Amino acid sequence: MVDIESLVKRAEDLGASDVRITVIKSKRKSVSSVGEKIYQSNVVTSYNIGIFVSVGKRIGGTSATVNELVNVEDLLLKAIKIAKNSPEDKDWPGIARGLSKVSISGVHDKKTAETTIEGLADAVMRSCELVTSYDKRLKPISTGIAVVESETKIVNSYDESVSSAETSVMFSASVKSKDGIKEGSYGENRIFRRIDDIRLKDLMENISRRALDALDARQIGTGSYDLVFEGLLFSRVLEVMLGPAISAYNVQMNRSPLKDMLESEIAADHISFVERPHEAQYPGAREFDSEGIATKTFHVVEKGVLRSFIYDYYTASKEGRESTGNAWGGLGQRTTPGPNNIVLMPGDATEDEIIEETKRGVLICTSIGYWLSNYISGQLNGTISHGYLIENGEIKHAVKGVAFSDNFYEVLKSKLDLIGKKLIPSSRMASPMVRIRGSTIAGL
Amino acid sequence: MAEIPDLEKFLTYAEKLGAEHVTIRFNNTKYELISVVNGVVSEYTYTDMSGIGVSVLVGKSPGFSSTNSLDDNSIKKAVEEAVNAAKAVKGKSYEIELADVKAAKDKVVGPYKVCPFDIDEKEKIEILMNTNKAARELDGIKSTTTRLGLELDRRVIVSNDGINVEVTTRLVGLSHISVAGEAGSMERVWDSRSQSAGFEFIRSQNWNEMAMEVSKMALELVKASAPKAGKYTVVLHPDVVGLLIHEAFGHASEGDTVYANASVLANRIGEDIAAREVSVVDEGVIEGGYFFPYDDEGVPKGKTYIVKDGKLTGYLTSRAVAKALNMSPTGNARAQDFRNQVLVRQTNYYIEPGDMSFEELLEDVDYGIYITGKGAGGGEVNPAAGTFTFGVGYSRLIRDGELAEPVRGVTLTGMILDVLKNVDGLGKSLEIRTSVFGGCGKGGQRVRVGDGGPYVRVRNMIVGGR
Repeated sequence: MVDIESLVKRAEDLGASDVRITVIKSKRKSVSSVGEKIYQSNVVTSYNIGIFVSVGKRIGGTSATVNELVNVEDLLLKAIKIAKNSPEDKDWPGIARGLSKVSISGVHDKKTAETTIEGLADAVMRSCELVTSYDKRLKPISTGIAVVESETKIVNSYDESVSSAETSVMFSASVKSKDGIKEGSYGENRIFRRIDDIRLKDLMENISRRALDALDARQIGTGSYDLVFEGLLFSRVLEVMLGPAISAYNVQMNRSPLKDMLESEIAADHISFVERPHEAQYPGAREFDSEGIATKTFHVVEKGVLRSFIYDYYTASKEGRESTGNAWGGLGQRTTPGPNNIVLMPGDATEDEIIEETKRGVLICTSIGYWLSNYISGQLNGTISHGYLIENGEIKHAVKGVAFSDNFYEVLKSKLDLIGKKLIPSSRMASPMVRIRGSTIAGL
Repeated sequence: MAEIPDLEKFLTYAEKLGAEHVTIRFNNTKYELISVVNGVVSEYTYTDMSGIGVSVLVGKSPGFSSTNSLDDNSIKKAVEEAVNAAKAVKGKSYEIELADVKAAKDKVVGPYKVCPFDIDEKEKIEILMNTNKAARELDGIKSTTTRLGLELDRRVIVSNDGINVEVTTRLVGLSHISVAGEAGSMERVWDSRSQSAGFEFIRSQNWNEMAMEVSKMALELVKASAPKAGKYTVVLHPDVVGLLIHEAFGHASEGDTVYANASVLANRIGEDIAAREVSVVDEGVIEGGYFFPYDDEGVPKGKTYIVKDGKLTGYLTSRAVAKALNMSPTGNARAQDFRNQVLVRQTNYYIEPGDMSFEELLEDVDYGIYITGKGAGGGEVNPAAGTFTFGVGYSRLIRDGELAEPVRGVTLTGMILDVLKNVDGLGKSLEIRTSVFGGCGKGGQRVRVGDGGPYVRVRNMIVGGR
């Protein structure tokens, strides 16, 4: 065990102006299957420390696993040496002060933390049974469930400290279909807060149904289509495109197209994005950020108008304002701002209504390569790994292997016209189903 | 400083608890990352991670546990947890058996002259500051980010069937991103060079020239338009060939994916699955690639042909997958670190060269795209569906056999086997690259890999654009 408080004092003795020390203890239990049988059962215990120091306006950081091979005082000395040898950053405000948290009921779930390998194995086997009993043409490819319990503590030189315990659950499943010479597949990855949040029957039935639909999946012709994104996929797209664009760091470093756009219309007036980090059911909910600053609820975009970027302590200090509690960074690393749980505020359309109102479009359920999209240029692209052709408001057949592309900033301004009611979270954003008018599909 | 614990005594402890087979892996990774953004050191971090992973088979059921605490009691506890995990899934798991291998006893250190962790901080920072400054000297460059990555990875693998292997690998590299802006439009281009080597590699390169070149490309691209979406003949730079063959084909050739019936290559050994001139190789030690003489089960990684003259000849395997597929272990069992169980992964994956010059590859193209890979974002594949996609960065149109204007926003999409069958030209030279900044992701684990090939021409490639 590391005596963090003593280490903080020692940092000052050794020449650090100030220091932030973070320790994270975690235990991860997981079971995964290949086909209908379990292939791996794992238990991983970790205890890690991060030390981040400043010496005047110079910074340095180190991190390590806590064990007999690592002397934490050597680690501290290394961080100070790095800082002393680095050039000054004239804007460096010192280590973040004002550590505090907003208590969120439910970010730690006892039942999830106490889930056993046997319990996970039963859930994995049940998932496989749900697939094979759904249709004889289906076989599970792989299923995995992991539960993680972690405790984080942050202490700084200003006699401030915060700590928190959280749980999370990762679930993945993929299913193959085969009917004569026709083959298809479908899979999903999801993150939950609690083990009970996995509605296994509904989840596996949906995956099974789509794997069957994939038997008839085909490419469609190149051209202009309306794109209907399911909420989970669009929330992941937002993580790639909106997340870095609203980071105050990228704005200050001249690599966000949203620079100089505060209080300007960057989206249509039916579009609002709100940071909502205090609702435990969302995977991105957290009590404090990576610097120990309490997270906050606030508008990023309100009725199309960009109201705020997201800040950590450094970027906020540079503009003479307070951090928004959006610091993200690894142990011993300088942080940069990122979303905790930014939500595209729901509209009033049901998912069925969005499809019914689409004349020629594609419902996109999963994509590979969407994360290759470029927030700097706005180029939004990906390949549809599972989708459906929509004609005159009706689903026609499954689609795969075609690429979609558009410009994200044009999508926000004028092409995203319908927003569904039901929010689906990814890890750090949440979105309902949306429709984008007139995007390009490259296919046959 | 404490030494690595004696791992072999814990093999016996696992056996006493009922394990028929046990492998214990110790891993220590030191990593240093320095970033300079617009002339300011934005990050300088040093990471030192170490711990052990214990894999057991109890009654042929698998269990794994890891801990970063290295005292005897903690390691014993990890062994107990691995055994208990195996017992907990008994009757629900596969009956896993391992292919026999000759028990290797070896200690290997990858090539290096100057250990990167012996270099003074000031020298590293000076190289980065100079490179970052050089990239900002052109008008229109809005932002520049330069990073230096240094890694030392040490692995010890022991098993109760006699394996005792230690491998130490150093990997160093520098990457640079320039963002150009003009008339409300922005674009970024990046490039990087890494090598399994010591700091002598960093000292030997002209980084300022590389960064200037990146800035010039960003300035060209910001004025460029996206190509019209559709099918094109493309000529691919070796960097993109590496991405293509790794993502579009390599993942489907991983034996665990094949065994799970999740690969389009399953049950196709002996079939013609590519153009006749295409041969595909996975090799552990090759110039330009990541140094990988043994896998994380202590099995030697030699040269494995996956495709020979267009015909599928094999898959990549671990010991368990080799046994299940009735093949030989190929030395491809890899874990990101001590916290992870091994998966079947690629090492240095490439297409063998042919006999055409770059000019000859362009000659027959009336209208197509030359794709350089500068600024390529990586890729992703669905090996079960056979689809892939990747973003490929800076590219240029080809008109009447000549390189023409640059285009941006290019993504490549397709079906794995269609693309390999549509290869109709291979360049003469072989180029393999690795990276200290990234790697290949699978099952939540990232490992260092190398990939490459010659220049390759492919007909009817789907290009996503405007």
